Amino acid sequence: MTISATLDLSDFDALDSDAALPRSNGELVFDAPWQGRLFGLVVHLCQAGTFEWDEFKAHLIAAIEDSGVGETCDPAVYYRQFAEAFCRLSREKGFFAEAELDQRAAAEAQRLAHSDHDHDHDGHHHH
Amino acid sequence: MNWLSLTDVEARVNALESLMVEKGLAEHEAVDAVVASFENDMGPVNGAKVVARAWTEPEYREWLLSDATAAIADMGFTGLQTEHMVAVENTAERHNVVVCTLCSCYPWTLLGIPPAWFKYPQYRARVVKEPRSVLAEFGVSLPDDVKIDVWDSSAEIRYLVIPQRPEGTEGLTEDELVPLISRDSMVGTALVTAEAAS
Repeated sequence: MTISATLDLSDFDALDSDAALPRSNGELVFDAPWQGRLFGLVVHLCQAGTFEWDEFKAHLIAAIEDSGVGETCDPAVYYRQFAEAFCRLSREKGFFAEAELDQRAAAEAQRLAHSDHDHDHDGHHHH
Repeated sequence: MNWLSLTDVEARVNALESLMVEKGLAEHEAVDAVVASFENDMGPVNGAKVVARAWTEPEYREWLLSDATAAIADMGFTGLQTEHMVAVENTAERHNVVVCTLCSCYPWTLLGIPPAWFKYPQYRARVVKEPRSVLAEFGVSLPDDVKIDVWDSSAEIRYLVIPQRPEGTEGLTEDELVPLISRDSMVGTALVTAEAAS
């Protein structure tokens, strides 16, 4: 079992506000892996000093406001807002060109679509 | 704000991670480490509970092998992406390993958030062609007479490997067995040993 040092998430949260991380009984709640990876990516980048959590949080609060859906405890909605906030921060910081992201996202979308179509799982059964 | 479809959000998030890695600003392994640190109930422990029960209850093992979807639902682990499960059992003669060659389908309600390597093109392509060497790179060296079955996941079917119960654990209870069973052992890229790998 993977055992890692407990990460103190209090630095990466905005308790008692619309930007607070969705939780249940104190545990973080995700309803799809991409949400966890996205959160993990942002925490990793903060830890690496790529940006300050507060800079990200400002974008998160703005993205939530702009979406018109505050106080959500639905991780599917919250992490969409979270993704939007990270895109805005990336734009501000110039991490990559907007076109690069669009292009890469389109390629990923196509790859993901394979999971719904033409996914032949019988063809790779090897000994 | 634009409400992207779920697939589009997922695609965009995958794209963000891979771009940030490509730019040298992030590392997949570091994201893995953060993810591992906050995985709790949704983590691999659910899968481990299923395996430990199969090891200790012969009737449950039979059920799991014949109808994994129902047997897993019986433990209360239902929901997204565990709809159709197939359990495959490792034995002295046969070792099973799981891949998703086309994307990254994964039974995450049982095993948690997939590790970065599960999505690496190298793993996805190579484990099918040369499973023995890929497994050796994971530290799993199998005797030549052990057959290796590679199972390719899809949106419709996800696989759970039931690893071999290690010798020396005969006296352990179901609950004591759970911590021994790692995520990788249920994907087939690790074996279970009598001491918890920590």
